[in-house]
Amino acid sequence: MKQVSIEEWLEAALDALQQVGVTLLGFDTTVQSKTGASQPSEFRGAFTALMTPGHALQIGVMSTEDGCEQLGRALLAMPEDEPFDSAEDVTDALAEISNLVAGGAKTRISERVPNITLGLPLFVDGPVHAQESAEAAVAAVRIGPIETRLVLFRSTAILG
Amino acid sequence: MKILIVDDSKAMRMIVRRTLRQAGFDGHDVQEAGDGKEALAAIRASQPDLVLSDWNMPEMGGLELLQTLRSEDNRVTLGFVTTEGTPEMRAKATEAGAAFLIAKPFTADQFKNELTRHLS
Repeated sequence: MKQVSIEEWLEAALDALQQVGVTLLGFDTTVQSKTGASQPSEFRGAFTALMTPGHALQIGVMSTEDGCEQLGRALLAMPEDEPFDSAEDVTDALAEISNLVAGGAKTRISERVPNITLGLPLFVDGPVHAQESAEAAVAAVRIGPIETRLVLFRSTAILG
Repeated sequence: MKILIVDDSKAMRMIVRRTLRQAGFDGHDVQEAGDGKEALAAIRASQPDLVLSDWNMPEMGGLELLQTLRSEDNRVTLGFVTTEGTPEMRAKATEAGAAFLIAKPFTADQFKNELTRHLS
């Protein structure tokens, strides 16, 4: 995946997130910052891995606890006052959003990078920190009224 | 008509149900399975008319589910509903015997067009 920069991956993921926002969440997305956004400590979210031999990319969609619930409600078309059956429903919704964004990024990049494998999503409660050897890109994105972060990490170390 | 929705995400199973209704496919017997292994058991037990399956799932993925069904000579109509929308994946799906592949995120119109074409 080295021939595609992390910035290009970020653009692909942002485009995919925009499509998810409009098609499934009913929201327009606004990119507030493409570089250097922070991961606030109270943010949580879901990451999905994209892998080729020797490299791994993690794409995550994160927000506050309330923001994650709003995203879940939007995805499931739930009224604002309807409670979730369980906390797992919220994490499942975020996992699916992360999966959709990662899958969309993969589709957009696949002509340049063949044989990308999409992993299963993982929900993380709290900010995620990559190893020093990894590249990172964090964009601040507003999905409708919801403040989120689109987080990408790419390992540059060759494994094995 | 009996429809089986296969996806490890409960949220996505709900979205597929909702989209079926929006596409005009309400009033059918809709069942769910959380992965390919559960789906295989459900299909063997009560042959659905249509299976809508995700691709990437734990235990057994959608492609392995389809390949297993075809190896048992089970010709159930199966379409993928998946984030895996690249030409490479579409070719793999067709080769394995899938009727169609709808890439996520999808619209009700896409569902209506594909299901109408394959179930008419």
